[in-house]
Amino acid sequence: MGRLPLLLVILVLAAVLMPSAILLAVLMVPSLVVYVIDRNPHRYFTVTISLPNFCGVLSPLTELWERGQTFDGAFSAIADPWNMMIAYGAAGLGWVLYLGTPIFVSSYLSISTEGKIKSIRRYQDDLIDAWGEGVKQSANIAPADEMEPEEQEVS
Amino acid sequence: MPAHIKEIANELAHLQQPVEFEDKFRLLPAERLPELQSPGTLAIAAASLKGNNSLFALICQKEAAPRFSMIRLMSRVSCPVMMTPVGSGTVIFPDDNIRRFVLVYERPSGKRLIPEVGHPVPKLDEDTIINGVIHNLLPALSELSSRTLMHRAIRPENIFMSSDGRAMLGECLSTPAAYAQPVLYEPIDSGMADPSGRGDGGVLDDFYSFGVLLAELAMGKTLLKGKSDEQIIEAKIKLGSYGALVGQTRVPLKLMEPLRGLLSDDPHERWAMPDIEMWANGRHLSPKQVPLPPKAVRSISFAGKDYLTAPMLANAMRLNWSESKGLIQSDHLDSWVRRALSNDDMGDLIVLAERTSHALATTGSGDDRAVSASIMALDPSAPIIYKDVAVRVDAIAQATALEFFEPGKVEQFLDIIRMKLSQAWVTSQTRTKPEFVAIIKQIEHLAQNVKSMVPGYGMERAVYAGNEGWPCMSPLVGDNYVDDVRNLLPALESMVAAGRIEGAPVDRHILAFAMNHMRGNFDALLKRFEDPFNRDVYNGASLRILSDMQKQFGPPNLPALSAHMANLLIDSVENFHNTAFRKQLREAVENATTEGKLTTLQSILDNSQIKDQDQVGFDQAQVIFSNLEAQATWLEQGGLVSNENVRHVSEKTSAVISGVCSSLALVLMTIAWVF
Repeated sequence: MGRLPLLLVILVLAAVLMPSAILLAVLMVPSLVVYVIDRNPHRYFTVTISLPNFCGVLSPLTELWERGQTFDGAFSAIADPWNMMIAYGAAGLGWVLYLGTPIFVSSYLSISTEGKIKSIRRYQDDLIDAWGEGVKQSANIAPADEMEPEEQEVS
Repeated sequence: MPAHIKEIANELAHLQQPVEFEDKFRLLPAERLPELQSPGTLAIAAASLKGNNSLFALICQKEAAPRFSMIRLMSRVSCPVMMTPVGSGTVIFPDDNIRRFVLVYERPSGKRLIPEVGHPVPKLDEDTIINGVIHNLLPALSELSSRTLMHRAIRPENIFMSSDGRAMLGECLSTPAAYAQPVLYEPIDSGMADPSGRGDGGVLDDFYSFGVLLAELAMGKTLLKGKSDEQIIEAKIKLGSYGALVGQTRVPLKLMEPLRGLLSDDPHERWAMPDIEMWANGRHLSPKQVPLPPKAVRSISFAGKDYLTAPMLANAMRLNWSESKGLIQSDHLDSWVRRALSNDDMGDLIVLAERTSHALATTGSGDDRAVSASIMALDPSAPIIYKDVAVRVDAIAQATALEFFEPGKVEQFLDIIRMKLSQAWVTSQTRTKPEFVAIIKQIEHLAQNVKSMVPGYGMERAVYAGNEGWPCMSPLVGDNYVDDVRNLLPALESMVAAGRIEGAPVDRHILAFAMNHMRGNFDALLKRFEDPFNRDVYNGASLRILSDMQKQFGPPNLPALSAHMANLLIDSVENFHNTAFRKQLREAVENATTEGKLTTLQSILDNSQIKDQDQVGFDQAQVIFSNLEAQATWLEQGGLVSNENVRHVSEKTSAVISGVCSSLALVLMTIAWVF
């Protein structure tokens, strides 16, 4: 589905479920902000923030629906600081996760690099055993900096 | 023995052990019979395993191979006054393990008329000649004539006379037709031809030889003694054969008629079997006097001599080739023929020969062809003459085979075929003969074979296609007489086993010989032999042809040849990239070598499919290795822990963790909401 049809569907839904839309628009501000600032095409940052943010919004949303989708219900839920704290707090947890993960990932990659190199060299030795020294020929001819390494597909 | 025939008796002195032949004869090489030896052969004793006939065998040489097709026909003839073979074929002599061709005959009862050529011929009285020679040999001549078989070896040393004065014809099969005949005993055209280029000819050639024999016996001397071959030919052309040989000498009156008839230089006037039979039955015939060639009103000067007749001039041109070119280029010949000889037809032919020769001479020189065609115009009965070669039209293939290794000769025969000199000769004949159809067919067959000079075709192929049963002349088979393709691989096997072949055991002769006998189209394979310096390709193709031969003709096991081919091609196994595959191939080669299976060896060593598979696998392995090297380099340069990569991985990781945790929270909230 293209972007325009999706936007139209959302607008229609927002028009039909206006109280819910108002509630979501206010409580999911962090997600909207992240969506705007996230430049990654895969939108990992947005996903990291918006999923817990949505979990935080879910509780007042269900209450709103139980009360019958009224504007009053929506505004009272927005005015409830508890709801605001849960929604924004959940988004904050996502933010913390996003900021903290590199520390652990960096450590893990540092540890695994050596193993990966060993594994590649072992595989190369197997290839030389099977096909002879000639198999190295093209690798020697082609300069290393001109190569475009594929994703880490080392098994 | 004629100088052009190789003596083999001394070469074969080492043969001592008896050998059985065709399960019918025992050959006894230790017992030599020089008195029964034909030129170029070794005569040994032989014994029949089934009867008590007194036999002898002639071991033939491959350089002057016996008359294969005539042997088959002569074997069916049963004539007590002519030696016909009782057995023939190849046999391996255990002394040197070499295959040789032998002819087995019953021993003749008498002795040779003269022990060898050059000895004076004894004078026989009229009665002995008529009864002991002519009447006695009539059944033999009749058999030959009725079956259109050509003896082509009627000469005094090949006539056996019994003690009671009865003649017997000796053998005629151990060397090519008329190869050992003295020029004196040959008709003018055959005498002009090289001994190799005389060919089977016709039965009338035998009657001519018979006439010369009778003349010598009647006069009791060697006719034209002391004259060279060229002088004999010149005398025959000048005076006619009867005039040159008998002349004014008194011969018994009764013999004058047959001598005139048999020595006629015109084959149409020469006596044949019915004439001799009629004469023998008492009917007197008066042979037509063949007119001598017309004399010119003035002579033509050529090569320091003056000539008055066209055949004499043609014969002189044969002997002075380079001067002949000058004569053709000048107008003297044309004007002499037209004015002095008053023969405008001949003049037109000479002019035509000169004009067309340059257009037809695709190889060689147009001048040479013009000389050759002019000689045909001057003397249509002469053989085809081209540079050093003089050959009868039906003997080109035989002459090519016999003179193949003579320097420069093959090129001349090739010129003769390609310049269509044979066709020109047939066209130049004043009388057409039914045998011309067969000759033209044979010539076209030869031309077809030399159209392509790819190994397997060319002049080598012309030799085997034009001479049935001619043995393979390749030096690679050594002295082995290989006339049957089934014996080719065993001969190569023995040569390889003896360490006498170093490179590929296939050359142009082997290919031509094999292609002449094998079934199937090998043109694509033959192209691989075009570059003998590309050893891998040549050796691979050699293995392929040898394995096909083994498949078609056997024998099933050729261990020495297999090992040799494996050695030649083992490098190609090392060219395989995959080490495990190489090991498997080496084992397979060893097995095939032990078994002696060339076909298995070929499927391993000359198999483009497995080579392609190996190459594809190697190319893929190179790409993988190259990618791995790039990955390793990237890792070693800190690519994995770079800020960018860490951020990239972290973003993904945090998104995943967030997703998982949110999902769990949603589940828990749903459960709490429900309950």
